[in-house]
Amino acid sequence: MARRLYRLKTLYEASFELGRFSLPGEIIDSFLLTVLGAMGITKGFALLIDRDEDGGQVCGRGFSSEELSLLETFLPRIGATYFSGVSTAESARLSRPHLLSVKERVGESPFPEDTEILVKWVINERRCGLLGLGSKIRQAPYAEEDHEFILSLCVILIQALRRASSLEDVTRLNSELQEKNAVMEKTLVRARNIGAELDRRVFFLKSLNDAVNELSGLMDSGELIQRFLLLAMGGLCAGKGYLVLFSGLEGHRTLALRGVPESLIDEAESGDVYRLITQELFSGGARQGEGVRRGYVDDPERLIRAGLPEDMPGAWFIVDESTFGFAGLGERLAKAPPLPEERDFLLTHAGAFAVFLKNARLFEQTRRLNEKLAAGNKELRETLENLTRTRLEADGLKLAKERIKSMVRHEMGRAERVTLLDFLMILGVSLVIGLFFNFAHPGGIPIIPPSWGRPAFTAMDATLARKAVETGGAILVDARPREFFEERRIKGAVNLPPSLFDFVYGMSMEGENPSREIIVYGRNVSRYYDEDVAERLRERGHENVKILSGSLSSWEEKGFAVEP
Amino acid sequence: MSSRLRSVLTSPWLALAFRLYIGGIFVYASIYKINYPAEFAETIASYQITPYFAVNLMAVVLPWIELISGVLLILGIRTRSAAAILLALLALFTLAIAITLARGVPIGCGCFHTIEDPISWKTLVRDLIWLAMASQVFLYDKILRLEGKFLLKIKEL
Repeated sequence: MARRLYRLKTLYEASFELGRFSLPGEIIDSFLLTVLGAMGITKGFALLIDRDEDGGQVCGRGFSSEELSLLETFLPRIGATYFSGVSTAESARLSRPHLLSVKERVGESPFPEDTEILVKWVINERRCGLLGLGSKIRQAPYAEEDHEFILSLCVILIQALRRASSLEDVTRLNSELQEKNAVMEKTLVRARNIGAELDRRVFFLKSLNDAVNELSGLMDSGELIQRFLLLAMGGLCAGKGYLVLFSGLEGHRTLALRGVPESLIDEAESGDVYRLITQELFSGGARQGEGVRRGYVDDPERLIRAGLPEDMPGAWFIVDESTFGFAGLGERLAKAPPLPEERDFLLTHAGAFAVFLKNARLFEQTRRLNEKLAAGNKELRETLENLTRTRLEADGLKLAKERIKSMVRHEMGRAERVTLLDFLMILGVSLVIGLFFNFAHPGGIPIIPPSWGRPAFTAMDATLARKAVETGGAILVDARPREFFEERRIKGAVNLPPSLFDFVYGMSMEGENPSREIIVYGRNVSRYYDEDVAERLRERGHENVKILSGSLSSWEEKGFAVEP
Repeated sequence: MSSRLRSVLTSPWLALAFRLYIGGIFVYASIYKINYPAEFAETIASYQITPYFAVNLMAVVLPWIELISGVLLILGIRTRSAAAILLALLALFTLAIAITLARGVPIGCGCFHTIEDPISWKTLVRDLIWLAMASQVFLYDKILRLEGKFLLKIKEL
């Protein structure tokens, strides 16, 4: 009973004790001591086999060092022999220690001779172990309860070892993790560095792209220069900068300054700068790409020799045969000499600028020529207009001269001319004066034939007239003047001309019957004597006055009597 | 010889003489006709050429034409036009006389006075001579024109 209690107490204490240690070596050492002490055994050894490493640990008490070293040597073989069937699934089963009798040793045994008990256990697929115990002090054989006790202790040992193994694993994993962490951190740092560098590169490329885009849109060389300087300063983060441009045969100098007093650049002569550039060209410091020769200079000595400020390194460039320049930048924010990327940026920028400058100058030149041409054109056109106007004037004057001459000639010939106007004037005036005079004159004659205003007389045919005369007693009156009457007349007619009317009438027809038929004849184309006389007869009271139609000629045609 | 004759015939002086003569004749002839239009109308009618409605009109206007043209001729104003008119009148008269002579009507010329010798070939010849004179005036008259005074300024020009 006491032993049992004692053994239980030993177990209890052992579990505590073993729990203190973290290293397997320490554990088995303590364990061995506990077992040997509790059982009263003088010799014992414990083996820890690590199958993955093909090694392990040996801990022994009471055995000789040779025996222990032998054990150590044979550890792999032991592992292979005793634990060959161990796999993951079985480990759960074999967690209980297994007591091996001494006789169960296989083959040549590496174990010391005094080993009486062997206990094997498995911690996990990797770790396993053996416990070898010698005889008790009192040389008593091992009882069953001894075996149980040993096995119980082994169980505690297994637990402790397992724990230690886990701990070891954890520690190992932890350190591995830490290692990996360290590696990853380093990688991270490198990646960040690369990222930073890429950003820088992108920045420069973008700056370059923007710069080229901006410059490409400009056509004015002055603006171009200013812009280029600004962009260069921006790209390189420079606080001040200058650009000096020499062009033409006289070395005409153009300056662009930002934060740099002009006096500083004053000494830069075209010859000096040109020499510097030539030096650079031949010293191989030039960049030949894209046909624009340019290069970077930061040697202060060279800069001084060229008359340029030594603290502002920069790029030189050649635009065309007679134009070249230098752009210097200083007071950089970074306070360090420019990186290769920055140099590249500046050089490429300068190259682009050179091309654009050439273009802009050509464009300006063209425009100037065009303007001159346009001015010349304008002058020409004005001259042409003047000429045309003058010619027109001259033509006009010539026309005027002709007109005046013709007018003069016309006037001069007026006297010679016979015009319709003259006739009209003369005839018209005559008509007017004549009519007026006729109207005013007491002896005026009627213009409108009077017979038109009187009722017409009845006309009588010749035959009827003859009958009237022969039977009716009509009187025939010849109204024509005497000469005509003398010349020819109707037989039996009375001559009664209008001019002698009163006289003749008074003489021969005074007492005539007013109702007696009187037939008057006698007219010619110019005078209607018969009408006049008939009217006068009617005035005298004769109502029955008729006119012979056709006059004498119709009478004659009828063949009637005519005398003489 | 002919050239001399020609120069005489075409001489402006001759034209001047004719001009004054013809003008004077017509002025003188027209005075009577103007004062005695009735007689003149009779004369016109006796020719038996003019239609009856135009006889009196002619008798009234014709003398005035003669007067004005004659005055213009004498003065030398629009001589060519006046000469042309008188030429026309003379032609008219000559034609009338010719017709009358052909007809054989025994009437007076009516140029100056109503009562005068009946027309004969002498009258015709006289009229033809006047016709020639008037045409010469028309063609060659140049000098001593009143109109010329007005043209002096232009001649200066």
